[in-house]
Parts: sequence; C-alpha cells; structure tokens
Amino acid sequence: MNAERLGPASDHTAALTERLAAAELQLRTVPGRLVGSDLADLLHEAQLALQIPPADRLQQILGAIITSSDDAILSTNLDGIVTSWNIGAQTLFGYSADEMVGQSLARLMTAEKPDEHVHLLAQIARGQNVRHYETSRRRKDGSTIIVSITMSPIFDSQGDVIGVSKISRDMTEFRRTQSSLMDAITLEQRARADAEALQKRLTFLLEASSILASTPNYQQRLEQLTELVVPTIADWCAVDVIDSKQMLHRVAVKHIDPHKSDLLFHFLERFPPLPNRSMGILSTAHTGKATLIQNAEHLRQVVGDDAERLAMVESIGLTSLIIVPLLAFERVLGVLTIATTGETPLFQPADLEMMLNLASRSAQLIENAQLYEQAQQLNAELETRVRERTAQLEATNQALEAFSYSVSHDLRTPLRAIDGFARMVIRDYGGLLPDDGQRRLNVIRDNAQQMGVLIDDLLRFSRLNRLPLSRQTVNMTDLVQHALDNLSSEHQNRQVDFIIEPLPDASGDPILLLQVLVNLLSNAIKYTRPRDRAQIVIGYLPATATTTGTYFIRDNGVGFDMQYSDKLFGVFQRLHHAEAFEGTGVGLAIVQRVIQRHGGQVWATAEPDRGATFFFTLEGKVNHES
Amino acid sequence: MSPEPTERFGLRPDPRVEILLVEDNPNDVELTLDAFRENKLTNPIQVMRDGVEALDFLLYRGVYAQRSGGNPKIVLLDLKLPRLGGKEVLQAIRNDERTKMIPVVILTSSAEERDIFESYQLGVNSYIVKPVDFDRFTAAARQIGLYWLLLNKPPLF
Repeated sequence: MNAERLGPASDHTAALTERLAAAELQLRTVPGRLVGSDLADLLHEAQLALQIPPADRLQQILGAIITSSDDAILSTNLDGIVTSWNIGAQTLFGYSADEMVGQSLARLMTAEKPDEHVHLLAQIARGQNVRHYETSRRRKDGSTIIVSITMSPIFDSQGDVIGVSKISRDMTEFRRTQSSLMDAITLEQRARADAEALQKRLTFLLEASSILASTPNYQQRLEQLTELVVPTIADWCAVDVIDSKQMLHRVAVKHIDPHKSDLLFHFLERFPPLPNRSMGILSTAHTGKATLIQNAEHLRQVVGDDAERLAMVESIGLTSLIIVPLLAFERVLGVLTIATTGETPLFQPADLEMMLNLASRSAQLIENAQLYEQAQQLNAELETRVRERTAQLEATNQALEAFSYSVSHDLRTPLRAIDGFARMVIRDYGGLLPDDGQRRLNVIRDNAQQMGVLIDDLLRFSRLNRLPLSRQTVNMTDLVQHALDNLSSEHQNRQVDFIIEPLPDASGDPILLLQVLVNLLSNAIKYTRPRDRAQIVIGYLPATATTTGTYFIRDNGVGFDMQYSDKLFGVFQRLHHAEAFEGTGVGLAIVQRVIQRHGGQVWATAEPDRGATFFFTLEGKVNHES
Repeated sequence: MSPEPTERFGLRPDPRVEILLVEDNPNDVELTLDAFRENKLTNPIQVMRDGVEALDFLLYRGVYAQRSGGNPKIVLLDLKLPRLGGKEVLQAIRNDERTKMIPVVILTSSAEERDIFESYQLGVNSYIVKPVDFDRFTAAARQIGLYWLLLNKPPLF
C-alpha cells in the first residue's frame, strides 16, 4: 500500500476501517509471531486516529504501520508491476524498493510455478480474495522461501480495481520447525517400528533355531523352516540345495497361498532359474553372494522378461526378493530365497541380515545332514564290500577245502605206493640186492614217510583256519595238565621238571588252546633234550597299564639266535637241523594261527644255548581277579 | 570187472565172495592184496574198480545179474571212485533191503572230518585212513581182516 497514492481518504473511511479490521484479524490469526500483537496495537491506534481527522495524521500512522511491519507489504498494478515495496519486503525477498518498484513480480516466482502471480492477479481482478495462500517464492540470492500471502484489491475513486495490495509473511522457519517436528515424530515411529521388527526377527530366529535343532530329517526341518518364514517374514520361501551332481534341487517351498505355491512349483519346473544373470538364485549359488532386490527392474532381471514369466510375476504380485547363499566353510550348499508379494512391506537390509543369519544356521544343518548321509552311504558301501569280500572268502575257502581234500586224498596215494612197493622189493628181493641197494630203498621209504607227515601237518594247519572258534572260559591250569598228560611219552627216561605257576582262566576255544599248549610244551621238551635236568616253567604275567595279561612257557633248552626269530612262526620254517631235532616246522605256525584267531599275539625271546621263552596273549581273557 | 590182480596173487575168484574191495587205484589194490596175503588172509576177494561196478555186483545187475552167491562178509570201500563215489555207493547199499545190513568199512586216504562225519551219517560201520607207511598199512589190513572176517559176527543173509 503506497501512502502517497492513498490520497484524501475521507470518502473511504468506512472501507479503510473495514480493511484495517481485516488486517488486524489476519495478523492475529497468523501463528507464531509476537509482532502480530504489536501490529494490533498499532492498528488500534490507527482506528482511534481514523475517528480523529485530519487525514495527514492518518497517513502518517499508516505509513508508520507499513514501515515498521516485519511482513512484506507491497502493491502492484493489475499487470503485476510493483508500485510500492516496504522494508519488510526488502528483508523477505532481498530486493530493495529501488530494485523492485516498476518491475514485474515475475522475478519472485519459482521455476515450478512461473506464472502464479498472473493467476493470483486474475483472481483478484475477478473480485475474489486471496487469503493466507501458502506458496514458494524465490529470493534475490536464489534461495526458495515459503510465504503466506494475503491479497486485497485497490480501488480508485470510481470504485474500479486499479491494483493489488499484498502482505507476504515468511513461513519458512515455521514450516521448517513443523517439518522437523514431523520428522521427529516419524523418526520416533520408525524407531518403534524398527524395535518391533527387531523383536520379531529375534523371536523368529529363536523359533527357526529350535526347528533346525529338532527333527532328525533335514529335509523335513527345512520344510518346517519355510513354514515359519511364511508368513512370519515373507510371503514366499524356497530352499534349493546343490546335489552331488552340482545341480540345484528344490527341497522346500512355501507360499502364503497354497494354490500359488503349487502354481509356482509348476512354473519353476517349466521355467528354471535363468543362467548367466548377474542376480538371482543361480548367481547366488555360483558366487555365494547375497542379494536384496527391491525394484521392479531388478526383479525382471532375476525372473526373466519374456511375457509368460512376467505374467507369473504379475500374478503372484512379486515385489521384493532376498536371495542368500547357504554357506558352510565357504562352500555354497544351496540357496535360500524369500519374497514379498502384494501389499506386504518390501524387504529391508535388516531382513537381509537376518536371512544371512538364518542361512548360516541352515547351512550347518545341511552340512551335517549331508555328512551324515555320506557316512551312511559309505557304511552301506562298506557293508556291500564286506558282503562281497565275505562271499569271495567263502568261495576261496571252498576252493581251499577242495584243494586240501585233493591233497589229503591224492597226494598220499602215490606216497603209499612208493613206500609200499619199496618195502615189497626189500621183502621179496632183498636177498638179491647189495646192502647199499637196500639202504637206498630205505632212504626212498624214509622220504615217502616224511612227506606223509608233512602232508598231514599241512592239512592240520589248513584245517585250523576252517574250524569255527568256540570261545568259552577255560581253566588254563587244567589245560596245561591235560597237555602234559598227552606228552608224557615224549620225555620218558628223562629228568624234566615242570613248574606250573598260578594261571588265570582264559577265554578261548579249549581244543585249539590245548593244541597251542601241546605244541609249545612239545617244543620245550624237544629242545631241552640235551639237558641233564630240563626245567620248563608255565607262568603268567598280569596285565599292566600298558600290557595285556600274558601267558608264557620258559625252558632251559638250546634256545635260538634272535636274528632268525622272524622265521620262527613261518610254515615249514625251521631253526634247527632235522638230524638234531626232528620236526616239520608246522607246530609254531599252528600256534601263531590259533593265537591270531583269538585276537592275541605270540612272540619269543631266546639266546643260543640259554633257553627260550614263548609268550602269548589272548584277547578277551578272564582274570581271576576280575 | 577185472579180476586180474586177484589172479596174479593166485587167489581164485570164488563164487562165495567174502571180501568186496572197491578201489580204483591198481597200486592200492596190489598193496591191499599184498597186505592181506602177508597176513595170511586167504578169504575170497573180489575187486571192483568203480562204484557202478560195485553196485552192479551187490545188486545183481549188469554183468553180475546172473552171479551166484550172496552178500560179502565185508565191503572195503574207497571214497574217491570214478563214476559213482564211495558215499553214493554206501547210500545205495543202505537204501536197498538186500544189502542194507552188509558191514561196510571205508578205507580211504582222506582224513577229512567232513568225510568221516558224512560216512557215519550214511551208516558206515568203520572208517579207516590208509597209512602212507606200508608197514602200518599192512598192520591195518591185518586188523581189518582179523576183526571183520574172524571176530565179527555178520547177520546171516
């Protein structure tokens, strides 16, 4: 409002009063400004003045009002050209009165609404008011401010509108405060929502963990997991595991709508995940990288962009996806995928974090389950192999039996003929032969008979492997006595002291153990033959922390050189000449075989001419003490 | 049928055969006959060279369909025989009413537990492993002859 152009106002006193009242109302209703009450006081003074002429006094007061106002008060003509510009306008817009008077208001308009002042003017020209219209304006420094505008028409003496008065108030601070308050409220709400989401996730993870630790079947557990994920976390969930052929194999899938779950299943059968995509199940399976997809463009990249695939995405209303690898020791075992559809809020990075956590637990489960399966498979293979080997062994055993039978029957028959016919020659024609001829025929007979003994021993030895082992508790003292009774003929006319120390019971086959004792004692008797007084001790060394209980038979015989001890238990292996000590070298081989079949060990210590001691252990022996 | 070894040792085939020796190995036949002779066992012996021939003889079949005489006092049976084995012969003997009571002694090289067990299961009267040593073999032959031909009382056929 330009004071100079207001002119003699007596005609307009009533109108002016009305406008001032309006101005007061406006000032009072604009919130947050103390200055409004000051202005109201001024206006009150102005009203008093209006009732008290002269006019120059009024003008003075009005001019003071306008000048002192913090609000921008300005006037324009109907073309929008500025006709007056107060200090408040200069403060608000940054332009001085000199810069603005005579200029268009267009320079104050923002790029978004460059013609706004034209529309507002048109509104006033039509006789409409503009009150507390909030909009943006551009300041001289280019910054944007929010203003509240109230516009009033200026009439000439004929009552025609010739211009517009405008009061603009800076609302920027108010709005900023309001906005930050809103922000604070939003933040508070979000924090609360986040806390709730966190709580929900923690509860979810706890439940998931309990599922993962429950049933023994891992596929069943993964299915239960998908049922927890849907609908707690997602609308859709799938678990794919990489099988031994490096193929992805879907082990569990769940959709919030069972019908869609089926649909999806068939869809995935028909349209497997696309290879060579930078995102998606295959990519995650390949790289082990987790993905959070929240926008449609990326979704299309993952699912595929042909019409049918897109229609599918549309029909299930896919909106966001999380794809996480099931990682165990940096090996990708599979992929866990969850999705949101329809109106469900999109997944957030926190959801991705949670799914990574869940995936690592699931991966451990799968890893364990796969290891268990592998172990089962290995066991099965092992069992098959054992069966095969058993069958082979049985076949070998049968072959061996057939062989022994053949040896037993066929090998002895010619020997009998050799011996028998040599004997008949000696008997019937001995008189015709010189002594040496008879001697040589006897050598033939001796050898045939020796071979007969060898064959018998060999058969005895091979039979040992075929006889079943029947374990029972054996009184070893009785058994030793029994063996000695059997051997009484072998030490006739000799001085042999047998010392039987206390012997604990053994667990073993009594017949086979008797064979062991007979063979060992027979050796002891045989190899002490050069002694005037032979001494044979049968004793027992109790178990210690590091050794098993051990039976022993010690003699003071001719002993042997430990250098050859490795040959001691070989079949037909002998450490003494046949002229000195008869034997076929099968006795100790039999001893070793019997002890081995009992799960025990046999060994000997000796020194030439200073006796030998034979030790043996039996697995599963029974001590007197126990 | 080959009575040749019998003839060689001057033991004429007798219609009333007392010992039926079933043995395919000619050396063993000779040794056995020699052992009997050395032990002064002169009972009539018939040698059969395999299981089929032995059964033909005992059951009056084939070339022996018309033979005279009854059952032998003893059958000395080897186990390993051509065509029909010793155990099968034993089984056939025990399965026929005419022969089931004939004393049968297995005289074999086999000392296999299984052979011994099965032979007794089939109803053998004795099981003797032929010793390689001819002196012991001769001794065994003497005991067999003394026991089964003199000491033992077989049923009347």
